[in-house]
Formats: sequence, C-alpha cells, structure tokens
Amino acid sequence: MKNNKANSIWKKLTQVFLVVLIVVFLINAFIYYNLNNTISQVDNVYSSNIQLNDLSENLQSIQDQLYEYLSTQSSDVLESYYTYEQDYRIKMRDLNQKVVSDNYLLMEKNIYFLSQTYLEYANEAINAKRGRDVSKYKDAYEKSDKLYDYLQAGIDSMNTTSFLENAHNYSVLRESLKVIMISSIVALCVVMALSTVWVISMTRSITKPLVKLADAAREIAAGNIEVDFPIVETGDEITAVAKACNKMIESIRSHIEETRANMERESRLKENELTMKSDLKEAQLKYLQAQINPHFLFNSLNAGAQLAMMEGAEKACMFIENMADFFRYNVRKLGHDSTLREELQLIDSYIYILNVRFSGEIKYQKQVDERYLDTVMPGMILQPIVENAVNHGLRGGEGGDLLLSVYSDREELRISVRDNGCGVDKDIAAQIMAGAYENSGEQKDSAGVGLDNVISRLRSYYNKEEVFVITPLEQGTEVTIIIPTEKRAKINDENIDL
Amino acid sequence: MQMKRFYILVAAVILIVGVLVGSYIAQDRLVKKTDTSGSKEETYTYHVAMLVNDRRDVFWQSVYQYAKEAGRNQDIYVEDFGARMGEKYSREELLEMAIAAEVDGIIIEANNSPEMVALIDEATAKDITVITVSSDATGSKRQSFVSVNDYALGEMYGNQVAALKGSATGKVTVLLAADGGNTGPDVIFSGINKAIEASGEKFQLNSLMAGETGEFESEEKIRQLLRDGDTRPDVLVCLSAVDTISAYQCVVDYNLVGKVKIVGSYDTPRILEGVEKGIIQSTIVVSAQEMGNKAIQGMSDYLTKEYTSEYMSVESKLITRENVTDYLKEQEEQGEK
Repeated sequence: MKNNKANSIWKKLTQVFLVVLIVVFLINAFIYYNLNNTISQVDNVYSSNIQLNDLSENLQSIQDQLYEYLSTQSSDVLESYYTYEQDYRIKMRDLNQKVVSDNYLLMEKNIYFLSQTYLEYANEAINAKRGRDVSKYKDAYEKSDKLYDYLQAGIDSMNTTSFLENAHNYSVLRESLKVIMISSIVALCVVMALSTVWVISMTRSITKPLVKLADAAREIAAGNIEVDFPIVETGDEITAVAKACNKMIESIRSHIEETRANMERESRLKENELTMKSDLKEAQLKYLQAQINPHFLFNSLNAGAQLAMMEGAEKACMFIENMADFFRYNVRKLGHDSTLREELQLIDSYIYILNVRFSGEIKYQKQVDERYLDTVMPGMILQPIVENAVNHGLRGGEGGDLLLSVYSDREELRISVRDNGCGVDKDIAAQIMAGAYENSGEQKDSAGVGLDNVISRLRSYYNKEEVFVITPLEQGTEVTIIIPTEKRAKINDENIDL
Repeated sequence: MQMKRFYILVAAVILIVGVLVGSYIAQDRLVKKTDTSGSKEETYTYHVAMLVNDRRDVFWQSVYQYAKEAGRNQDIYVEDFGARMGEKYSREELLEMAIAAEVDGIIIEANNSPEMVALIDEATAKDITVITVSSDATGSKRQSFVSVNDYALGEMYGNQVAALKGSATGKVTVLLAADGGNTGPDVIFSGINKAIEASGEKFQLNSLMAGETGEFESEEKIRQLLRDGDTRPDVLVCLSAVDTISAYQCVVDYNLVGKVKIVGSYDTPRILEGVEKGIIQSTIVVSAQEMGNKAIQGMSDYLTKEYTSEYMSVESKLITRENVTDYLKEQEEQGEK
C-alpha cells in the first residue's frame, strides 16, 4: 500500500506540474535579474556627466561667492563660500589622484590638483581681503580667476570626452538589452518546448496502461472472455485496478463454467422427460390406430349386451359386457394414472374374452396381496404383459397356465406374470429389457401397446432402470414389474399428464 | 525506461542551463566592452607634462611618442599637456596650468620671453623639474636643455647649400619659423651664413620669416616666393617638416623641378619620397627619438637623483638621394623591432 502511494497518479501529476512550474519560475527570475541588472547599468551611464556638471556648478558658486565677498565683504557670503568650498572638497575626493596612463583619469588628476591650487589662491584672496591687503588680494583673485577659467575649461573637456564615451556605452547597453531580450525569448521557447515534451511523455506514460486496460475491457465486452487485463508495473493505481480486474475475470470464468455444467445436467433431464412424453404419445396413437372409435365401439357393445340379455343369451351378454369393460378401460385410462385394482380387473376381462375366443384353454390364477390393490401406477401396463405371455407363451401349444402374483418386500412391490409356454431365449429377453428388440411386423391381434413402450413408460414414471425383469424359466417365462411401494408425488402426475 | 527518462531530463536541464549561461556570457561580454576604465591602465610614479609650440607637427609628435615610450621604462608618464582641452591655449597658459596641476616635471619647447622665464622659475620654485627641448629659455632656472647644436645645424645646412654649386644667380632663401624671442633660428641662420662664407662660393643669402601672423601663413609665403620670378631663389632652405613638404609641393605644382633646389628638414615619408625623386636635394633629420630619450633621461635623473647635466645635445643626420634607400631600410628594421 505504501509503495502504491509512493507512485500514485496524483504524485506523478504533481511532480510533472511542479517541475514545469519551477523551471519556468527560475527562468523568469533569471531573466528578470538580468534585465534589472542591465537597466540599472543604463541608469548609471551618464552618472559621470552628472558628477562633472555638479562639480562645475559648485565651482561656479565658489567663484561667485568669492567675487561677491571681495566686493562686499559680507559675512553671510563668506559663510556660504565656506559651505560651497566644503562641498567642493568632498566632491573632489572622487577624482583620481594617481598618475595613470589613462588620459581621462589623468585629466581628473590635473583637475584635482588644479582645484587645490585654485582653492589656495581663493582662500589667500579672502584672507588678504580680511587683512585689508589690497594689492595681495587683487593679485590672488586674479590668479584664482585664471585658474577658475582653466578649471572650467578642463571640466568641460572632460565632460565632452566622458559624454562621448557614455553615449557609446549607452548604445552598447541598448544593444545588450536587445541581446537579453532575444536570449530570453529563446530560453523561454526552449523551456516551453521541453516542458511540452516532458508533460506529453509523462501524461502518456500515465494514460498508456489506462488505454490498454480500456482496450482489454472493450474486447471483453465484445464477448471474448479469454482476454486478460494487461498489467504494466507502474506501481500506481492502474496496476492495482488491472490486477483486481484480472481476479474478477478469473472468477467470472469459473462461474460461467459451473453454470454451463448445470445447464447441461438440466437439459439432460428435460430430454428424459420429453422421451417419456413421446412414448405416451406413441402408445396413444397406437390405440387410436387400433380402435377407430372406442366410444362408439363400447356403446355398440353395451347395446349388444342388452340385446343378448333380452334374448336370454346370458353367456353372450357376459362376453359383450367384458368386451365393453375392456374398451372402456382403454379409453379412460390411457395416459392417466390407474390403480393396481383397476389393472387387475382389466386383466380379468381380457382373460375372459380370450377364454371365450379360445374356448377356455387359458388357466388363469392370481395370488394378490390385497393391501396393495390401491397402489397407483401407470395405466395399460399389465394388459400388454399378459397379452405377450398369451401370444408368445401359450398360444402355440394347446392351452396353458397363467399365474399373476402381487407381493411385496416392504420397499418394492412386485407384480409377476408367469406362463408355462415355450419360453424365451435369454438374449432376446436381455434385448427386450434394454429396449433394443426390433419386433418384426405388426401383431395383428395385439391390443396395441408393445412391451418396449411399457418398459419405457415405467422407467420414465419411476425414474429408475430396474422396473422390468424377464426371467426365462424351465418351462415358460416370468415377467416381473418392480415398482416402489410409496406413492409418487402428485406433481409428477400432473407433469406427465397429457 | 527509468534510466532513459533520467538521461533525457539531464540533457534538458543542461540545454536550459547552456542557453542561460550562453546568454549571460554574451551579455556580460557586451557590457564589459563599455567598461573602459578598467582596461590596461598602468600606474606611474611621476607625471610629466610636455608642452610644444605645435603639437601637430610630425617631428614633435614623434618626440612625444619616443619620450612617452622612454618614460614607461623610467616610471614616468608623459602627458601631451592640453591636447585634450577643448579650447586652444598658448604655451604660457598651459605652463601655468601645469604648474597649478602640480605635475612632477615639465618638458617644454621654451623661448626667451620674460613671461616664459618667470613661469619656469615659478615652476622650479614649486619643486617642478623643468627641461627645455629644442629651444631654451635662457636665464631661467630650468634644470636641463636638450637640443641639437643650432650653430652646428646651421653649418650643416650651409655646407649643403654650398655643395649645390652651379646655380645661376646663387640666390638662397632660408625659411625661418617665427617664434617670438626664440634665438634658435637666428643661430641656425648665422651658422648657414658662416658655412657659405667658409666655402668661398658666392651666394646671395636671404631669410624669410613665416608664421608671424597665423596658421597656414608659411605655405602662402612659399607659394608667393616661388611664383614670383624675381624673388624666386635657387636654393630654398626649410627648417621645419611642414615647410619642407609645402616647398616640395610648390616646386612640383609650378614645374620648377631643377630650377629651385630644396634643402629640407625631417624625414616624413613624403619628404623621403621627394629625396628619392631628387626634388628635395637633401634633408637634415634631427633625431626625434634621441631628443625624446634624452629629455626623459634628464628628467628621470633629476627626479630620482636631483641632478642632471645642464645641456644635452642631440645628433642630426643628413639624408641625400644616395643614402635614402639605406635610411629607409634602417627605419623599416627599427619599425619591425
């Protein structure tokens, strides 16, 4: 976390802008200092002229006061004379007093000593005037006057010389100001260019990982879940975001994987259900094919039974009633849940009909545990099994035994149909149980529903494989239906209901 | 990546600093140009003022330069006093100024006027060493006098004039520079006279004063003299460089080459050119270098030892068409040194 903070985007941006600001500030300070320096030099260019003018004016004042004092001998004038003299002596100190090769400075030296001599004569004149030494003060004044002229001329010449030099200096300084301006502009331009490059490169380095991140996000949004977020080790928040996004994508991927597995399982279940429904449909269709109109048929049969009764033919009446029951059951129960009791009644009717048809050759016995008569089970299950046993087991020989037994071992209810017919081959039995046996040709005499249909429906209904077992015996065959004793949930009934 | 960025940063900083330092140096150099007071000024112990009649004269300019050169070795700075004054002052006024300016020494082309003498005495009274050059202020208290021997110089001119035999009438005019109270020209003239007499040749010797009334006067006088056939001399003796050049130009202008012979003074390139061409017969060169050197030597001696010889003589040299080439070579060699 500390490391992150050390390199955070905030810090980076602050760094960039601070560097630019400081550099620009320094450049400006430097330029300002330079300009200021030069301008103050320009200001001083004519200082020597000013100084000389000052000197000249002061000298003139001395000479004026001297003249006035000599003419009036006023003490006020004398006082101001001494003031001016004092000033002048102070100003003189700035002049060069050494012997040097420079002409200008040498002139300063001459002016300095000339001034001294001048002041000596001037003082001498004043003292002589006080002492009333007329000839002496006149003489001294004359000399001082001459020296005054020389001094003024000398100062004038110096002034001219220095003015020429200063004018030259002034133009040079102006030139240097120009140089400073140009170099300042150049420096500023360089700094601007460098700062721009610096800011661009820094901001790009900050935004580059962001752009990559955005690209990756866009690709993921387009559906490519296999893309990883690029991790650039900049040490800032973007790296953290990229890492977090990668973790997120990882977990999304695993979730998707899980969901897919779930969906596959679910679709398999749905497929199973669909198969069951199609089986039912098939069975129904078979019946519709077999019995063009069961209602019409069994109404007609009822009418036939009543006719037989009126004519006193009891057996015919019985027969026709059984026929009617059989078909009514078919019409009512196909696709609906039935009970074991109803199924057994249907078998009774069926055996009766067969025995009438085949003159009592089938000896039918049942051993039923009556506690289970109300067990709910799919309809039209037992009849096809009995029909199969009669068709394949008994019909070939002369008559036969058929034993139907219902018994239970607590968890499972077993309904067994045993015949003593010609039996069945083991392989065929296995094929039938696997639902893979191809029945050759339609059975003309069938009630319509095949064994494979029965097996399929049982398996779908109870959602288990072990529901139908064919056991070849020494003499004949035993078919056993194994169903759970518990009732199935009502919801399932409705689902299956067509 | 990090290193690369670091290098770029360093390069940028160097670039900025380079631009700034460059501009600063450029500006500084410009400003330094204005600062002449600090340029190569040498300090000396003694300050000597040099005062001559005509500081623009080539001869005196040379003397000043040589004296300045010689002074440098003796810790003496020689100032061409008054050269930088706006107004034009007389030698006496300048002398007065120099005394008031309390210089250490004065080298002056003096004259015998009482004013000059009085000022020189005033200067020596104020402990200022005064050395007269070329012409003396006789009777003053000057410390030394540096000059050619005027009489010997006159003889030299005389001999040259005498050597120019075969002139029809033998009229000789000597151009004398008017210099109030100065005895120099007179001595030279008498020297010439003496030498001609001694040669036994017949010459009619005249003198002409020039420069009495103002500047450019001598040039006018020469033209006047040469234009007029009656006064035109056969030999013209010029005692200054300016006169020699004027005479040379006049002779050429009036087509008098061969008719008027010139005996000149000094060795400016123009004069030497005249000698080479034979228009100027001969020129007598007073060594400016020797004069400058000797004046400074005397000055230095007196300033340091309070003693110097009262008179120092300067050699003079004759240049004719025969030796002018050698002389030029010699000069060139000296110039190279």
